Amino acid sequence: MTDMTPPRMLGSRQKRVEDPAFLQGTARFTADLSLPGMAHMVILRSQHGHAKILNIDTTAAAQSPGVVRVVTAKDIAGHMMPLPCIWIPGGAESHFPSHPFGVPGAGPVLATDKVRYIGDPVAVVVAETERQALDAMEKIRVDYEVLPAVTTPREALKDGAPQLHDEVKNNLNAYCAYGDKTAAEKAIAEGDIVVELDTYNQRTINNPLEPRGAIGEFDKETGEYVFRGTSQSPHDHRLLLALMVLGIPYNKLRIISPNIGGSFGTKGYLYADMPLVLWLAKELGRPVKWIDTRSGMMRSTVQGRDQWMHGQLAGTADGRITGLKMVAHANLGAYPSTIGPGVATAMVGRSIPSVYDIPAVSAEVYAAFTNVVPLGAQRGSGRAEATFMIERLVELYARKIGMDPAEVRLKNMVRPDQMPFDNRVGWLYDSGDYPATFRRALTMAMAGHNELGQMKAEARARGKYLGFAAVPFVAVSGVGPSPRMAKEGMLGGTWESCNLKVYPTGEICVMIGSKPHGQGHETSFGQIAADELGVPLSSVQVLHSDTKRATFGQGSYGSRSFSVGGAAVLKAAQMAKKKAIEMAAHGFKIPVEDVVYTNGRMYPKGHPEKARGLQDVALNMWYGWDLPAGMEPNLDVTTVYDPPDFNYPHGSQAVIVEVDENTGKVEIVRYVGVHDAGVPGNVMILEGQVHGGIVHGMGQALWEGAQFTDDGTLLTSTLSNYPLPRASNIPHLDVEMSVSPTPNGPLGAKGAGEIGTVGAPVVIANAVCDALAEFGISHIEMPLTPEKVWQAMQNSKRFGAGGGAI
Amino acid sequence: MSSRSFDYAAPKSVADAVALLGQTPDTLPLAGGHELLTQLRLRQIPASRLVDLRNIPALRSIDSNAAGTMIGAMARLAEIAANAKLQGSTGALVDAIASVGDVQTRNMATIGGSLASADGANDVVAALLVLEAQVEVSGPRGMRLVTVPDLIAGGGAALRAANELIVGVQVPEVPTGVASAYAKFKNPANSYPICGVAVAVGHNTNGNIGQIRIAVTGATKAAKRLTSAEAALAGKAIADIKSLATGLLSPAEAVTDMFASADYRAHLVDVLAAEAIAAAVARLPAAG
Repeated sequence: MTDMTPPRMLGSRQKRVEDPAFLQGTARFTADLSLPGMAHMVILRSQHGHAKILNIDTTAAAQSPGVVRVVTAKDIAGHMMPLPCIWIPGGAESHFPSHPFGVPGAGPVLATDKVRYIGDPVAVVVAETERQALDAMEKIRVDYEVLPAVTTPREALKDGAPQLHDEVKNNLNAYCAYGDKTAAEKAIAEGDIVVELDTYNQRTINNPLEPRGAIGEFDKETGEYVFRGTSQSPHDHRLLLALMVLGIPYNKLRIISPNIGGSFGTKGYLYADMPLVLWLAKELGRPVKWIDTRSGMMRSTVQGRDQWMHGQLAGTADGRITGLKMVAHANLGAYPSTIGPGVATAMVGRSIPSVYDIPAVSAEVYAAFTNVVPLGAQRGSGRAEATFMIERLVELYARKIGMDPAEVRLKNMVRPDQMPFDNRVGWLYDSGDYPATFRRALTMAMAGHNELGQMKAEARARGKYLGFAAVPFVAVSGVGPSPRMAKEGMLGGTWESCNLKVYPTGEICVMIGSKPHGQGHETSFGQIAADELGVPLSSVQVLHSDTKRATFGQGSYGSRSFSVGGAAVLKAAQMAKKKAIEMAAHGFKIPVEDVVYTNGRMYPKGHPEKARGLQDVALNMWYGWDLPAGMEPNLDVTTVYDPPDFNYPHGSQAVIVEVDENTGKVEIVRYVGVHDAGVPGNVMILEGQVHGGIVHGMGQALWEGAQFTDDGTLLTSTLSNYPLPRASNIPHLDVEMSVSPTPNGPLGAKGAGEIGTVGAPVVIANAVCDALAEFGISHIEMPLTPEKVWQAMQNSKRFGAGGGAI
Repeated sequence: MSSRSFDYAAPKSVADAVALLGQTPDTLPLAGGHELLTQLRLRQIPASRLVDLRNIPALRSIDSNAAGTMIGAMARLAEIAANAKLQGSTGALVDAIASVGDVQTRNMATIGGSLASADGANDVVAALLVLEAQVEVSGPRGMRLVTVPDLIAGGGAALRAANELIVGVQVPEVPTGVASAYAKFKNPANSYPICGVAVAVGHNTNGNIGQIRIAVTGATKAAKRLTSAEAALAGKAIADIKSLATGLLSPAEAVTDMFASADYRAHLVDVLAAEAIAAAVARLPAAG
């Protein structure tokens, strides 16, 4: 009898085991939780972008019905430190700061002498009910002296600009330089052709379906604090809250993160409410709950992008790019958010050459404080901005030399035989056939369509201008190798852990440090263990989101869960399997190498009739009556995985758009893409990530953009004035996958969460510019709203071709 | 986020509702609730008591006779759009309703609630302007009819000040040979009109339109008829409408806000007017 090879679980389409609870509405989120004796907290936030606090009068609020406690900065002084920033860009010299003095400008939990943005927390009220707390909050009187505000980084860095933090001169948080500036400047000075672009990659507001929430609990008997809330990095938050904010023992803080309704980069950050509910729970001797609102999501949760960028690209007349120089000004907002400064610098600067082999590259980023909401991450952060710049420049360059933009791209693209490829500003691309995915996207886009010129003419007859564009992209993912992250200025280990148990009853329990916020870890991580151990997915239970379970995990962000956290699961399953085989060999009284392991069963080579199941072996290990020499009882292993390097998913997208001649409205008529996230775990989840990612990018391209007034007031403060992509606005997405395994991880998997987002804004922008080429329009800033596009056409009509750029 | 506390009443008659409105200050009628409940949750307006109109059956009906159709204030937008008589005769109203929010919004929203904010960017009001509808209002001094322009001028605040309640809308019978339509450019965030244009077009002969009524919403501070544009287009050849529909609204009369400039809105009026006229003409019986 031959071995029966089980069907691979990995790489298959499995329905998400999480979904029944989500779809039937039985899944519980932070807002659904209620603890006995719980009181409710609300946060009074600044109404000003920049103001001195002269006085806070809480007398009337404290006497309001149901009020338990009113707290301002003076009440928490000495009890908690400012919120730390743990990604301080600038290299190895600047990391490991002594908190808080090593983090100039760190945000206090409650504003002390000044408020610096319109969401700055000023006071909190705790009452028996949320309504009573809100009623009381209306009675707090804050006297402000409004100060001049600054809302953009280039203005903030100028002499004489309003100063946010006394200890941060000229509002400059960090200046980072990547690559060889001298070489890049020389290439541009000597370039046959030089194109340049000044563009604002606009600030976007993260809007997961579920706003944030926090519940603090304190047990007087044990001295243990429990935090329940929307944390996508529960283990990391435990460390930061215990060590850096509250100064309490690590073993007295437990974090439980219930189901999370999306994050997109927001819920891995530290916020004022987190230490406050814990401290108040102890102070008041009862649990304290805080639930944010949609407007809170909009004005006091980290936002994304906001890069003011200038780029220059030099090349030969026949399409060979010779140099690239980019200077960006990142708008950090009022305070350095948990990892915001690092995201805003390294992720942009090091990503600037994208998929191209450019001999001379330089990127510089100035990160400045301003009177707007603190900057954090948004899906694709840094890489999307870099991709937008380079792909706009390449498009302008191709048009200037009269070459097909696709040909220029292929001519400069990193080839598979160059892998691993040093992009000259810090990333070492791992694997992939970039030209092949790009060619495939071109083919997909035009499949079943007429030749482009014919399509344009046909659209013209209908009152539309048709445009086409295709762009390749690569997005560093899988944060990260801990020693490398330290060099980037990250204060924290970025490894992941897994504890895997095979119970004596045969079920398998996988405890992971990684925390899902919509990605389906229970399914895809279960698939890893099921695949390796040859058991059905249904027998694997994946536990997460409670710091009492796994050892540690840095959290789910930067498209790292599956490729880094998943690798820890694979390692654990391999170790468990090895131990089970040793036990089986002992039982069969044969050498280990004579044991055949298949379908979760073990037998001596040639004797499948003697097979013993994993459960049987685990039970005997549990009894521990007769173990091989030196083996400890019980089948329970713990592993830690720290990747040797990042991984680099890549892909290409192509679109056909139509612009309405009357209104300027952009309609996407065809959207195709080829995405490569290495070896897939669950193909269905992977496709879902890509679809969601693309839609996110479309949002930035066409609709989204935070608007602040000069005094720091947020105009786009609700969903009635901040447009998000809607199902009815989204075209069919025709998405294919290719597979180039990464050598930087045992699964061969690369990050999938952001790859769809990074190329989407620029492929749409390029296609619109192609559609409007006859107007001489070379650039339109995002979002490409109908009015902006119409105005560009009007200006061109008024001032002649070339006058259309705005 | 929790609202402030308020009392609640659900009277069974219009008279009781009107009486309650006058009893305590800051008493507000509750219809579909879309705007009001959001404002209350955000603590933007004071309310001491909500008078829920859901238990007054008379307010829910849609009745047609030879003179026209009386739409009760509590008729849901979805019910109005599904009414066979209105579908056949008041295209602009049906179009306007179809463009409001989404299915769930239209299932809950009422025409009375829409009219309570007649002074804002309001799809339904533009349609009612070209249909020359009148609004029936009940107050302490009894019933009165208000024209839509008067209602817009006073806004919901005027009704509240007088403790008056919108009880229904009278849409006059549309003569054979008149058709109407509504075209809209949506705000992508909230679906309100950045610009909306309603038109009613009279019988066409020899390829010409007859009389025409045009109303704009969203582009101007409040919805209004464009009488000079009506005069300019009346009797003109259908084939020429697109070229004639220019400069219908002066940019000086249009609004600029965070969503669109006055110039763009004024331009959209022309685009949408041409679109709405074409749609209305297509609904006219063939010329004969």
